Amino acid sequence: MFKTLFWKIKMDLKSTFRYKFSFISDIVVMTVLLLIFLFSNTGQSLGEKYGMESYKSLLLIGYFLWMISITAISSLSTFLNSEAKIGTLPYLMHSAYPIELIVLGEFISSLLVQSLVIIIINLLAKVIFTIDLYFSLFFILIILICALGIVKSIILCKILYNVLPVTH
Amino acid sequence: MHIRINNLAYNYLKGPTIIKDLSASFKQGEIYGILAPNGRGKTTFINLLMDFLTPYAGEIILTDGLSIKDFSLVQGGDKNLYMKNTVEENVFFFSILKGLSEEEIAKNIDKYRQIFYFYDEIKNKLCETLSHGQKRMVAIFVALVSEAKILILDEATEGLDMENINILKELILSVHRDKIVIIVSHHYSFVEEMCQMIYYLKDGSFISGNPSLTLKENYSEIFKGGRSHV
Repeated sequence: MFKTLFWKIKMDLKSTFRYKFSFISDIVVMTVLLLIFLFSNTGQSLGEKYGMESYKSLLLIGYFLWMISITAISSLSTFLNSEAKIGTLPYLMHSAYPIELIVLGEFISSLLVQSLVIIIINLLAKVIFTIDLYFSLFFILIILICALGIVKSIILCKILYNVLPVTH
Repeated sequence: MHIRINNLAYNYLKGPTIIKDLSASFKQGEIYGILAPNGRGKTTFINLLMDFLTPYAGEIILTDGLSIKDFSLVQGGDKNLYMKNTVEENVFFFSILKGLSEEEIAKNIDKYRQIFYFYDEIKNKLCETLSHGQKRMVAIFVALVSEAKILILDEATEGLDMENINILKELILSVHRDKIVIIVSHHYSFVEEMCQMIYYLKDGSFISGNPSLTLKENYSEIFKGGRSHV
């Protein structure tokens, strides 16, 4: 079972880094978006509410959490769509392992890629804007909750798939 | 190993009945052909067989411990593979999904290497760089290496040149004894040559027969409005 998970992650990571343009454009888009937030003083009122001098750190952690959340959601939504489009969904649906495992592999690989994007943006933020970021276990806990949510969504999809008449 | 289909019926939401009162039988060691013009329900039938659609009447019975996980569908078009991965990665990944170990996969690759002789040449290539015909052959190779007991080839010969069609014939003949092979195609002469039994899909049901009875002539009206390669 773990071998399947490992292979799914390996396949996804290899295909991601073979298509470098997508990875680089992710970094560029996310950095530009962060710059817009920084220059528009987004999060200043939150900083005042929490009594934090540097609201930019708050903004950055919120930004990273948002990035991870959209990774969790998009890895699920694009998974079914893209696998159906390229015709690999039948293999996954009829595999010897539960499809939740494959989705988890998809999520982990997306998370690893996104973590790399986060590290790069964090370094840029530290070097250019001298923003310090504070990590806590709470951050990791949220990631785990996201993963659990994805698996549960897939179970729900499977139930709906079996109950509803599906047209192709 | 046996698949029995009894009085199957299906229609799409707000659509006409595509499959009605369809019965058929598929046995191990035999190669079956399914012929019909476009839009007559071939793909719907495959989707019902693969359990992607639920029939509103009838039943599909899998005997001798067969399960839905034993099916392998090779779809038409540039499908079935991860294009940004190499041929070898695809072969290993899809076989691991079927529960095979890496040693078993390597053994199976060796088993079919003689027929699929260009595997070593293309195994490190990205699937997106392969020709349409090569992609089809790799998809079929994946299905064979992953030890599928029921092999469904949709538009089996689509995009294949004569050399690849001959390789496909050889592959099918070398594996069909311990499998159920179902070839869905418009390519009548290929199906006629390969299959022991041909099912013609007409008005939602199958008309079956031995190819030597030249059913195509008897049921030539099936092909009215659609073209078939003869």
